[in-house]
Amino acid sequence: MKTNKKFSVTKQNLWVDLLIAGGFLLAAQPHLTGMAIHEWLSLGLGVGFLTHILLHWRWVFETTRRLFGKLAGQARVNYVLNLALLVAFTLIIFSGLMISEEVLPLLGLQGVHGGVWKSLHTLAAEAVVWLVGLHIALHWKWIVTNSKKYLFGWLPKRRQAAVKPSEAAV
Amino acid sequence: MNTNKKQRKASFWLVLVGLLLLVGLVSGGVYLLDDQGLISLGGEMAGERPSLPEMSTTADGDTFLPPTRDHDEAGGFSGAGLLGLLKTVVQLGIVVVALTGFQRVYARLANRWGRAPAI
Repeated sequence: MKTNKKFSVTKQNLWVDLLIAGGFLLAAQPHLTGMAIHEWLSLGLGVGFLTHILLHWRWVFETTRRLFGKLAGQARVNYVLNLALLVAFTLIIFSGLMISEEVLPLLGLQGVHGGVWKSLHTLAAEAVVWLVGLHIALHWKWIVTNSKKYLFGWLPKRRQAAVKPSEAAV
Repeated sequence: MNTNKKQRKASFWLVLVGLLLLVGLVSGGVYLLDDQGLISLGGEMAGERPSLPEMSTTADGDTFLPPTRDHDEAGGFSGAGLLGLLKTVVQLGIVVVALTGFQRVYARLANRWGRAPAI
C-alpha cells in the first residue's frame, strides 16, 4: 500500500537551517576542526546558504519588489540584516578561498598567505557572529514554535492544568 | 512557467552577479586602500607572525623552539578550541536574549500605547 505522507516545507526549512547552524558553529572554530575541515566545511556551508536563499527566494523577490513601497517594518529590518549577512558571508568565503591552504592547492592554485585577505576574513568572521545572532533572534519565535512541533513533538505534552475551573465547578 | 516565476528566476541571477560584483568592488577597494597605505590591515606584516629567534636559550638553559602552525592545522579537542566554540555560543545567546527581551518590552509598551510594534 502506498502511503502519501504530507510533505512539510516548514520541516524541511527547519532541518536545513539546523544543519547550517551546526555547520556554522563548527566552521567558526578552525582551532577545533583543523584547517582542512574548516575550509571544506565552509565551502559546504556556502552551498547551504545558497540553498537557504533559494528556499526563501519568493520572500526575497517579493520583499525586494516592495522594499521602497508598502512593507512591514520587521520585514524591512529583516531584509537589510539578511543583505548584510549575504555580503559578509560572501566576503568570508571569497577571502577564505584567497588564503586557502587546502582547497586551492588541490586545484593546483596557490593562495595568498596573510595580508589584506586574511584581515578581511577575520573582520568579516567577527562581524558575522553578531549578524547571525540578530538573524536568529528575529526568527526566534519561528524556531521555538517549529522546534517544539517537529523536533520535540514526540515528547509527552505538559498538562496545562490539573482541573479546569469550569470542570471544578460541576 | 508563468511570467512571475520567470521574473523571479531572472532576478536570482541578477542578484548573484550583483553580489559577485559587490564583493569584487569591496575587496578591490580594500586592497587598493591598503596598497596606497591609506588603511592598515596587517599589510606590513603580510599576515605573517612576528618572527621569533630561530634558536634561543631560556633562563634555565633549555633550547627554545618557536611554535609551529601544525597544532592549528591539525585541530582536535583542545581547551582553546572548545573555549572558542563556547565564546561563539555565548555571543549568539547574548544577542538572542537581548533582542527577544527588547521585542517583548517594546510589544508590551506598544500595546499600552495602542500601537502595533514595528519590530
